[in-house]
Amino acid sequence: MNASTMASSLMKSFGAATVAFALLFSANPEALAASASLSPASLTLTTGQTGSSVFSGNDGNSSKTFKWSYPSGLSVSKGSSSNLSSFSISSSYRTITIKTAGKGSFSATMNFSSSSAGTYSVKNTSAGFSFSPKDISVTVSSTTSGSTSGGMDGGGGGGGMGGGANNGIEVLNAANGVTLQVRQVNKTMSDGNNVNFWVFCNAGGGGGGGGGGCAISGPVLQLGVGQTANVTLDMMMAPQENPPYQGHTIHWHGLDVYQSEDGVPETGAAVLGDNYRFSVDNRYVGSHMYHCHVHTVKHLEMGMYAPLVVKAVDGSGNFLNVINSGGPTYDYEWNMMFSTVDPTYHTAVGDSTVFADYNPRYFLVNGNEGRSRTAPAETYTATPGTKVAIRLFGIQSVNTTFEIKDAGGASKSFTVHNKDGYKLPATQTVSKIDLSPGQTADIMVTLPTSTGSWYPQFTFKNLRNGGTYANGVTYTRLNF
Amino acid sequence: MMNALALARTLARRLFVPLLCLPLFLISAVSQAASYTLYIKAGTHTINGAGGTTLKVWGFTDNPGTGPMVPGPLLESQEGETVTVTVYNQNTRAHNFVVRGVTTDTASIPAGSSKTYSFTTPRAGTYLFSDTLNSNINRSMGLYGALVVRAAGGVNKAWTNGPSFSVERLWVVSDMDKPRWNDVAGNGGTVNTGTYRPNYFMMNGLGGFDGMHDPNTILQGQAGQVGLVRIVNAGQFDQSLHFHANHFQIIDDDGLRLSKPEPGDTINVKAGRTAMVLFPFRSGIYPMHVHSAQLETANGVYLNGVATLLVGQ
Repeated sequence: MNASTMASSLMKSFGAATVAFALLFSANPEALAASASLSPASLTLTTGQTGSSVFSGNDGNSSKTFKWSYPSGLSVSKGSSSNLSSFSISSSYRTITIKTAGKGSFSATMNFSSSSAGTYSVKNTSAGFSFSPKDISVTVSSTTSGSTSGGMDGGGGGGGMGGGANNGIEVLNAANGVTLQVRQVNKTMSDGNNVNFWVFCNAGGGGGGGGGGCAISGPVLQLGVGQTANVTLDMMMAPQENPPYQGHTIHWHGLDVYQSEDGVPETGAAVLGDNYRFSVDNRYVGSHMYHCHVHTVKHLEMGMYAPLVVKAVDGSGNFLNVINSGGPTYDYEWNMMFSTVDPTYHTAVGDSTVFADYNPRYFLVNGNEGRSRTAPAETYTATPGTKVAIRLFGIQSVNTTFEIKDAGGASKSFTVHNKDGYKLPATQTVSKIDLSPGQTADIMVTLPTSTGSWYPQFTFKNLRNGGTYANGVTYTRLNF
Repeated sequence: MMNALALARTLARRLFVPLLCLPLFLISAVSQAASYTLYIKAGTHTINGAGGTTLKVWGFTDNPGTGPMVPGPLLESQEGETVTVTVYNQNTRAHNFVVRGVTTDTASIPAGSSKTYSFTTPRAGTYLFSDTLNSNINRSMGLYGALVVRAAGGVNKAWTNGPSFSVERLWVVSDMDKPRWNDVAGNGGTVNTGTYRPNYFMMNGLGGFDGMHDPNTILQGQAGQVGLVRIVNAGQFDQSLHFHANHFQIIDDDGLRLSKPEPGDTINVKAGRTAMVLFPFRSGIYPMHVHSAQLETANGVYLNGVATLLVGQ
C-alpha cells in the first residue's frame, strides 16, 4: 500500500468529509484566479505559410506547466512570450512545454507551418489547470488549390471535425485531475428510433450541454507510465437505477490496479462517487478501457465506457508516440471504440428477463453507426506516407472482426503490436483480427505515399455460429 | 447487490487458509492407468440463487445411484497413460462418448447397453468429452465433461518440460436454453435446432452466485504464485472471459501449444474448444467474468451467470 492508495482508501472511508474537502479546495482564491485561453485555437494556412496562436492568461501567482504534443509534418517555433519560467519546443519528441513564472498574467506565442497539406492536431497533454479549448487545429491546404488531401465532402472543412488525432473526441490526461460525471444522452438512430444512453462526461471541461463533454464513448483518458491517475467520479445528477443496482463506478479494464481502485461494487467499491488513484508500469503502454462496473449487463450497454490509453514517457514525463515500450513510433493515433446496442436493454431495469437474451440492432464505432462507405461512422484524415496507429477498443457484447479495405475492396494488411494493452511476444502482420467482448488491440499501418482512402470496417457476429448480424458491418473512412 | 456477493467474499476469506493447505494434486499423482465407469442418465440440474432454476438434463455420472452430473465426472490421466472408460447408457435414446482430439469412435451406444473405450492420452492438456450425436442436442442437454492430462509424473508443469504452476483450476463453461431446448428435449419433444437462445450460463455447472463460493471454481493462490487455468467451453456460445487483477499468458489455444505465450486480460474460448492460461496471483479479491451482456446472468439476473473470484493472498 503506497501513500496515494492509503489516501484514497481514507477518502472512501469518509465520503462526506471528501465533499467538504473538495469544497475547501475550490474555494482557494488562487485556483479561482487562474485562467487561460488559446487564440486562435484553429488555424487555416497554406503550405509554407506561418500562422500563430497565443496562449495567454493568469496563473494565479503560482507557477503552472502546460504541454502539447504535435504530429510529424508540422513545424513549430517559439514567438514572443512574457512571464514564463521556461518555453521549450522539442522537435524530436514533438512537444511544446510552457511553464509560467507564477507572476499572474502570462503569454506565449507559438508559430506553426507545414510543407505538407493536411490537418494537424496539436493536443494538450498536460495542464496546470483546466481551460478550454485546449487543443490547436492547424489545417494546411496545398498552394496548388484543388488537390488538397481528403477532398471529399469538406474534408478537414476548416476544423469542423476537430481533425487530427482524436477526431473531435475529448482527450484528457488522467494525471491532471479529471472529474467525470454521468449524463443521459438521447440519440436518434439511423432507423429513426430514439435510444437513451448514459455516458461519462468531463465535468471540468468546456461547459455542460449535450456537446463536447458528453458523447457516447466518453472522453479518452491518457496516462503516462509512472504517473498517478487522479480521477473522480462525481455522481451529482447522475441517472441511475434503484437498489440494489444504484450508483456507478469506474473499472479500469486492463489495468491491474489495487482492489480498492478496481471499481467493482461486489468487492468493495463505493457506488455513490469515488476518487481513483493508480499508476502503471511500462508493460501497460497501449490500449485499455474504462467503464462502469455496476450491473454491467445494463450499464455497459447504456454507454458507460471510453478508451484509456497508457503512454510511454520521456525523462521529463512527456508522452511519446510509441506503440509500446521500446516499440516503433507513429505519426497519427486513431482511437476506435466499438460497441453494440440492443434497445430493449436501454429501457429495462433491475433483474429483468430482458437481460437473458441479446439482440443487437445498432453497431457503433465511437458512438456512431456507419452502415455504408458513403456514410461512415467516422472519417479520419492523415498525411500520405505516414504511420498510423489504430487502437481498437472492444466493448461490444458479440464477436467482431476488424479489417481494412481499399477503395477497390482489397484487404490491406496491418501489423498487430499489442493485445489487451500488452506487447505481443512477436508482432503479427495480418489482414483481419478478431476481437471478442472486452478485448483491445493496437495495430499500425503505413499509408501509401499517394492520396486515397481506405475503409477500416468492423463485422459484428453472433456468438453461436459467427453469422453476421443484420446491418452488422460498420464502416469508417481513412483519407490520406 | 451485497447479499449473495458479499457472502461470497466473506466465504472466500474464510476458506482462504484451509484451501491453501489442501494437497490438491496428490490424488492424481498416484495412478498409472486410469479406469472410469460412467453412466448416462436423464434427470435434473439445479442452478441456485435468484434467477436460478431446475433444468431437465441428460448427463454422465460415475455413481449409478445418483442422477446426472453437469458437467460429467472429471477424467484425469498423465501423458502416455492408458485410460479405459466404460459407458453404460441408462437413458432411453442412443448416445455416444467422444474425447475431442483423442478418440474417434462416434458410433452410438444403444439405450440399455454399454461400451468400453480404451485410449492412450498423447499430450498433456485439457480436453472436452461429450456426446456428439443429435445435432448438438445431446451435448446441450448436459452430456459433457473434461479430461485433464497432466505431465508425466504428475509434476506441476503444464506439460513435460513445460511451464510451471503452483495451483490449477478447471473451468468448464456452458450454456443452456431452457424453454426451447431442455424443456422440449427433456419432455421427449423435437427441438428446433435452428433457434438457440440460451438463458442459463454456467461455470462448472454453477451460476455465478455459487461460482463465487465454490472452492473448486475460485482461483486462489498466494501473490507471486502462478495458477494454471484450464478452460473448456462445452456450450454452443463463444465465451469471452475477462480476468481482473492481472494479465494472464495463453500457453495453449485449443490444444495448440504456443511457443511464445500471448498476454491478455480477456480470452475468447470458442464453443467446443479449450484453452490454458497462466495467471500470476496478485493480492486481493477480484472477479473473473464473461464480458458479454446476458452471459453474466441467470435468466437475466445479474452475476448469476459465468463468474467466479480470483483470490490472491
